[in-house]
Amino acid sequence: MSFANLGWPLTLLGLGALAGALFLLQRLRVRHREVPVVTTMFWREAVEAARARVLTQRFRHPWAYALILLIASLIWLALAGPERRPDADTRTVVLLDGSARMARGDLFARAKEATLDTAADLPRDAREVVLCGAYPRRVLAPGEDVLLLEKRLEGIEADACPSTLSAVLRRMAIDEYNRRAFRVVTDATMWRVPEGIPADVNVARVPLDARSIANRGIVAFGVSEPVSGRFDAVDVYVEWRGSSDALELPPAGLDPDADVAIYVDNERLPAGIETTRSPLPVDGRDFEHKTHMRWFRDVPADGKTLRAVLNKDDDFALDNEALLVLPTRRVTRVGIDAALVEVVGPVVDADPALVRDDQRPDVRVARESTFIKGMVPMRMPRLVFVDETESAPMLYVQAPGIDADGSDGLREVVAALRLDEIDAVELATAAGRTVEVVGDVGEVRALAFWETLLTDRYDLVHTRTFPALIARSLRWLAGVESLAPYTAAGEPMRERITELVDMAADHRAVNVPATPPVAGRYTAVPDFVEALLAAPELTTPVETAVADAPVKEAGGFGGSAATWLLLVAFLLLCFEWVLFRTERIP
Amino acid sequence: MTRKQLNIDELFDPAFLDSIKTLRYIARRVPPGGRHAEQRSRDLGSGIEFRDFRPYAAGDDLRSIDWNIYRRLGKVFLRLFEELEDLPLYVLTDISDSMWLEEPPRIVRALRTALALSAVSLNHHDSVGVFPFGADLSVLARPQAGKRRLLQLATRMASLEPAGPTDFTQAVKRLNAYKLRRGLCAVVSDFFDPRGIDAVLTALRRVRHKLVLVQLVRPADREPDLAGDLRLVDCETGEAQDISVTPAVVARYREAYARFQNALMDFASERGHGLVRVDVEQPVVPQLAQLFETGSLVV
Repeated sequence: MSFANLGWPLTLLGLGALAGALFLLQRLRVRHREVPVVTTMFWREAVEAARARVLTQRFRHPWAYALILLIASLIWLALAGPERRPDADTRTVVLLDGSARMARGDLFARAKEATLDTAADLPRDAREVVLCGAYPRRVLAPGEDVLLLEKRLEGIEADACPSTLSAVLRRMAIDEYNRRAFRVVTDATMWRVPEGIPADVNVARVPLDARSIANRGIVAFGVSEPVSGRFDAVDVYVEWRGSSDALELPPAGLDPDADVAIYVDNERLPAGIETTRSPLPVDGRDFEHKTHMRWFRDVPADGKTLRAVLNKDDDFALDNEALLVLPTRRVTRVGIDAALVEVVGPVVDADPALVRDDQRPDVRVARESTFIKGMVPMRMPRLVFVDETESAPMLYVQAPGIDADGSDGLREVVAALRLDEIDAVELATAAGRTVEVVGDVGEVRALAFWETLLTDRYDLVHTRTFPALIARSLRWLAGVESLAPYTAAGEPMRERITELVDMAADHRAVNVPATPPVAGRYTAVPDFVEALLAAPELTTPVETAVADAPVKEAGGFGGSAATWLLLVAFLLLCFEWVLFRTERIP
Repeated sequence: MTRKQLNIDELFDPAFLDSIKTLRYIARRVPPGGRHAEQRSRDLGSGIEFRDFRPYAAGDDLRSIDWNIYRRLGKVFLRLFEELEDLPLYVLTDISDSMWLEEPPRIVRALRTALALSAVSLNHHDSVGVFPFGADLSVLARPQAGKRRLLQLATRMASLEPAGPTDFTQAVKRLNAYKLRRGLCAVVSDFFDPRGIDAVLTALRRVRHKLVLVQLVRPADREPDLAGDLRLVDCETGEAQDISVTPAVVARYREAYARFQNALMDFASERGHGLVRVDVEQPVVPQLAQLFETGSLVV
């Protein structure tokens, strides 16, 4: 048993004060009207047996006092808001969804009000409120007054991020050491109880009138390798969705910018860039929601910022605009030793990302007669072909961060070169020896293959694998990263970015891809990243089965207990009135 | 609290006096030592009622010798007759503060009652003394006979003033100190002595006269018309009593009043005293007639 409005100490203090006050009132002299009489001796005898409430006289009516004290106590307890805690170890957690989907209209403001009401109805010591925005934050701890929650929620708006509600719920629900019940305050049309919640955990949705609104928004905005095959350009892809009434497209063939506009560093996309779009909307999850796509071909990959803006506003503004930082792609200059020009030269010439430049090469392709471990000193990355000696491994990898024991770093290089997909057994059979891949730490990247791989013995040069091996090797040596289509808030980034400076220290991870929590611009290593709010379900809400989730109205026992107490107090009051009228109490 | 100003016209009027002409006291025996009047006394004298014989002694009146006995017995005996003397009436009238309160005040009916009782005695040549009392007893009229004294008594009664709280103990003590010849003592009062009915009865037991108690009552004494939270102030003592008037309290009041009345009734009954209750809101004479059931009060 606890009290929603007053704590135990205050409740007990109030009861004590009531008892004292009523005791004094019982002893206080009532105000009498003076009447002269011929004698008072008969009245004196009459009141001796039932003396009125007079000060400094004996306390003559303990039952009357007990009755009025009981009535007053019941009323006081009703005001204190008694409530029964169903399980002493159960704490009720109110999860307030603070993600982007709550930014529609006044939904988040109503969600905050519902959260305040729900928290107020819960036992003070067994409640907590967690705001599930970009980062889950506890905004009300057990034992704190609900006024603090109101203060803390002031000025807070929904974050432009995917919902973290289900993740927080799942993480808290599986904590067996802290049994909890959950009240979820979110847009019921877009959320369902996630899988994996233990069956004995009570999850209830707080009723929230979430009116569906017409919306359209960008759900994807990214780059890809250009269809034209150019290396220094990318194709830009924009996808947006919307309900049918919000998505009014111009007829095909009219102004192509009527639906979405692309800006490069705040200027319209230069003329001459080919744009195409899907001729007809693609069906979404249902006929109400249509998906539209547009491609912008051969946009220069020069590191500028692209901004896509939908030309029609709606109530959900967070997905009407998206930013993207284009990659910076530069052609790698390759210097080739004369002995290898015949074999490697055609491959370099055929690759648009590579160009032969023996004077100022970024990467050199060379031949060494003897394998020297470490291959130092080197001034530039090198692809070396060495004699197949006993000491020379089939592949030698040198790079910063490569573990000499051949751990993850070496494995990543092998994967980048696609060597993990070759038939190593056949290669070993052909070589007649063990095929080794050796890694070593060095300041400059270097790769060393057997030169014999270029001979007819292994039949590599004449296969389609060889240009791919050479191209990937040179790209790895030059540090050319593969394209990341886009960076989405709430989704892990490209592997090479493991730290976003702007992220809170508590949410940084080590040696794992960073995850931008909120759509926006981040300081990454070594440059900037724009994270896109890319969550189709935010833009095109679909009615879910969440209405079937157990819905428990807040404040069940607390309200009814107070009502019962008041009812009993009223009945006792009537009882006292009857006793008074029948002269059983003064 | 307003005091009633008495008016002789309220006390003395011819119709009232005519109505009491037929009433009289009859004493079974009058204490000896009185003057000649109409009441039978223990004294043997020249009355007409034969009482006894006794042997002749020298110096006796020869006219009292019964010669018939002398003729039959040869001895001289005297015939003795009872002497007719007066029955003194002492009217103790309560003029304490309680008698002057309320409307109509009890004092008017009390004085009319006292005047009526006095008139009955005076009409039969008995002496009447009037002793008003409150905190103490005083003498308004010494015991004297004479029909003409009635107007004098009324005049004096009209000049009476409230005399403080009732104190029967002191009043009786003072009365006894006067060493009056034993007679009939009529106490006209509400008997509301602040010390209680026990003090009243104790005092009355010390009265050496035959008692006639006239209690002045009114319906509100038995059925008080009070309600609410009140502070009742005793008009004689000034003592305040806080009460919340409820039916239960009123019931207990009735019980207390009934005990008071019964105690007075039992006292009169046990001692053979007369007791009549006069409703002050009704005419006095018809109620006094209860006392003189057959036109006379035998005391």
